[in-house]
Amino acid sequence: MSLIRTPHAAVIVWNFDDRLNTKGITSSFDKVNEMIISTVSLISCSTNKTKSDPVGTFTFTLAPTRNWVSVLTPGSWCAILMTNEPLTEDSFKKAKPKQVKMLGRIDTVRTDVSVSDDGTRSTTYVVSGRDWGSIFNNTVYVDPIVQDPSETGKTMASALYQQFSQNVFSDNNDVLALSIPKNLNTILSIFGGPLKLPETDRLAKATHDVSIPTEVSNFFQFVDGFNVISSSTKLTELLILVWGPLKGEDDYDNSAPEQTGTGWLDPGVLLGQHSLWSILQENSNYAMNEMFLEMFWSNEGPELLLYNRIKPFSYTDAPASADKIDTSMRSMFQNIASHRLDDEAIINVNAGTNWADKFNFIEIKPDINELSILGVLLKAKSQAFQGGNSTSDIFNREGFRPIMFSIKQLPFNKKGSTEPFQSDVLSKWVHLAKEWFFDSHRLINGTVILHGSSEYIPVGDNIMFEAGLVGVTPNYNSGAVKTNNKIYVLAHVETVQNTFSIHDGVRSFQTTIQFVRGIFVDEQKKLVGEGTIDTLASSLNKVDSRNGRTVLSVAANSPKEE
Amino acid sequence: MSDNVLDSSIWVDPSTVRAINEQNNRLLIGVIREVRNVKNTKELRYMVEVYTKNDTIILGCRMMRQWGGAYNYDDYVMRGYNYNDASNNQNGTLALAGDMVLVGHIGGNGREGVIIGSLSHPARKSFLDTTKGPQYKSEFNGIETSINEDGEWTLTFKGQPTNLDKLTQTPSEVIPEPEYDTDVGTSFMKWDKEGGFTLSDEATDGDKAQKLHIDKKKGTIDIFSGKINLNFKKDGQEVSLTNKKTTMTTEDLIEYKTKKFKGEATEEVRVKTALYVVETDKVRLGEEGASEWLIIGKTFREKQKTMDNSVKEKLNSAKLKITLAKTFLNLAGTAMSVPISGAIAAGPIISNAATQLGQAGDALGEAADAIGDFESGGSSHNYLSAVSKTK
Repeated sequence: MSLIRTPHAAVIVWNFDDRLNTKGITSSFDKVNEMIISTVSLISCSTNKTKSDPVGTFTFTLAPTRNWVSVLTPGSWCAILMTNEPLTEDSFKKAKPKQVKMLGRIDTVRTDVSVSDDGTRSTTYVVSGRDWGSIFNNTVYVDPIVQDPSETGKTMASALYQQFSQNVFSDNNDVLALSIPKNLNTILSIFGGPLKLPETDRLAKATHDVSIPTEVSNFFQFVDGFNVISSSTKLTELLILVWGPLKGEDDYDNSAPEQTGTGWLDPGVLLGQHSLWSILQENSNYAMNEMFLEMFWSNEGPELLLYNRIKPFSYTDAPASADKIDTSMRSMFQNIASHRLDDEAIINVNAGTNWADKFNFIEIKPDINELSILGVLLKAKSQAFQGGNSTSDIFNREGFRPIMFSIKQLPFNKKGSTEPFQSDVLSKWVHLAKEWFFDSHRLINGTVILHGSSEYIPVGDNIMFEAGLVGVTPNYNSGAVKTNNKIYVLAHVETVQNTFSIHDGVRSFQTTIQFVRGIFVDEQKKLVGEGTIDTLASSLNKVDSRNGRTVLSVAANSPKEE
Repeated sequence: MSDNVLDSSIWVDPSTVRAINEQNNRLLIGVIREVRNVKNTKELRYMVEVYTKNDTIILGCRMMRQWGGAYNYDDYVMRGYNYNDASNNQNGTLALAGDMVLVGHIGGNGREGVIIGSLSHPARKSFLDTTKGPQYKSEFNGIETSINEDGEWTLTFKGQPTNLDKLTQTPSEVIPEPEYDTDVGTSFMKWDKEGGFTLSDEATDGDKAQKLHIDKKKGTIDIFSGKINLNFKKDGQEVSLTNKKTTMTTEDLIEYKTKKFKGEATEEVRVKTALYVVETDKVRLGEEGASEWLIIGKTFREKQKTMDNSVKEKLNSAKLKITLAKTFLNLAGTAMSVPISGAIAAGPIISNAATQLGQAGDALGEAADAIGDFESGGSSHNYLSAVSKTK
């Protein structure tokens, strides 16, 4: 029996009154008028958030009840609500995790008028924009020769210089490579403009201290890094950096920031050359860490998270080569926050393997020129082969399938050491990455479409759904056919799309989730069999591989017959 | 179209990671702000104010070196400046005391600045006249090095500028030309176009500078300290020293070796010593024309004294015997005046006289032996010189 749900959707627009002109502000830069657009005018809406892009997008279509082009101010903030719960008056006073799908800003409001063959005139208004992550597409710009007024000595007084003195030439004149989290926080602090810069007629400070209207802040009541509801209207002050390996379910080990890599900042890229996101990526050690943005709903309220965590892609209980990795960096896939999907809500699953994601060689190339001199030494430390050596027959069969990372953040040694960096640690990084990239072809990727999910499913989290929904028979590996327990697909969320529409009075609300790295687990997330499709195709004999629910009579001794 | 969902850990949108692949291949002008000792690596790091696209970046830089060996190196601590934002706008780099440099990025990496050289500071004027031909001039921290159009190389110590405080002030006005204290500076060394070399303090106080001059053409070396002059002439291998007082203090030994050793003291020669030894066969006192050699040894004198005493004793003995013989002969003569008996009586007397003469002869012979002994008694009492002369 199918579920009967009554989805609801609405958009709250905090519409800026002053649209600004070439002269600047006419009345007030932050005065907004709150508008609630319900299904009276709302024909459809959709949100799309993908892990690979810091910026999510949204679109909503409005009935021509008003001239929305003249009503809605581009650049206004909005909240998009889609849920199976009733939207009540309270829903528009305080954000609720099972209702809000996106905080965004309106980029464009367009009208679309068409006349059909029968002369019917149809008019709709389409509003589209980007989510709060769009602030990361801004270009960082700090005037580097504006002094810091708190620096009374008037020597080396450049504000940016102060930053670099503290962060690049830190520790009493030592050129110290700092941990990734510290460097990222430094960049964010520049972004957030805590430099106490004076008012000048120059573009003196970071221009992207993006503020949200107080009304937006009141609605969301964001939780800051101290786990306290903040009244700040500055998004940059609300950002929380999440880093480190997972030591438990959605629990990160923050004891060793240097473990994530160390490096120093490049001052050149901070001056109007690149987006904030690009700069953060450049300093993220993307070989070992993954960076993405998401909103997280804690018990206290919503949090705006900037993830730069150790890639949580280890899924086997024991590492393939425990002696060659730092097990404390091993961030388990099963520890990613997971969302159990309502199996009955799933209306479509498309899943399968992808050999294109499979690699047999990995190299992390230090992109620090001086260290290139150590190439002979580093090559052995920075490479890993599937099969253990470069003459592996695997290359003969598959060809050379390399994945390479050029990074500027390395396990630099702490001061006092004569070695520039810890090459053994680099070797451990490489071997840890083997776990992530050499088995990709045995993992499952695909798409799940379900009746709209009230629960907020963030990208970068995991989803879990019954494996029986994939295919006909849950015989994915030799382990699966031997167990009577329920088998689940535990997969990593790459993209989440929510769509709501009203057509001919019928409401439709769907959530589409694109996932990768799907493994087969039991209810406790223990691997079923190898967790992936078997290493040996012959591990699953012909009978067991048959979809018994549809094919019942084929003899086991008919190897050629399919 | 494939339904594959791509793993974002593998398939990265290049537009989101543009800064990762940032390459900065341009050379940029910069001014040294500060030089630091890096505690960890014990190297020098330069904080350089680099200008690019109307922006200023503070870049940590290494410096390109002429040599880069573990034992082959050259290190520079360049000059930074006292930064003050409010004061350096009007005159720009004319007011910045920091050394002006050219900065590149190793591997195009903005983290890896390298000072590859220096540029002419806008506040400095060049004194080289291009019409004269190839020339060179440099100055670092008060040391000026120049090569003129004749290829003459000069290194001049100029000392610290007396108006150095202008450089340590926060930038506000065009940096003035340096002024030097010539009482301190002006010392130089120079290879001249004749191949000669001069090292001089060029002091202007007193009579003269102190200097060393090697005149390759003349084959001379002169060392001056005021009026003191030590001169070497290659031809004739001559050395001369002109001064008022020479004091030599040598702990163990002074050795001279020459064919002739001449000295002249207008007042006196005084030697204070526990032992004065002249190891030679001959000593001459007096003028060049003197013909007498002098100096007898003590042993010689003692032997001579022994000989003299012995000869004296024997001669006296011989004198006595001869006197007695004379007496006897006189007596015998008297006795001989008596015929026959007188002769008989004189006979023994004559014998006595003969005995005395014989003894006198013996004594003379012994005196002769003493002299013979002296002359043939071995080397212990030989003359210090074969012959001693005196004026």
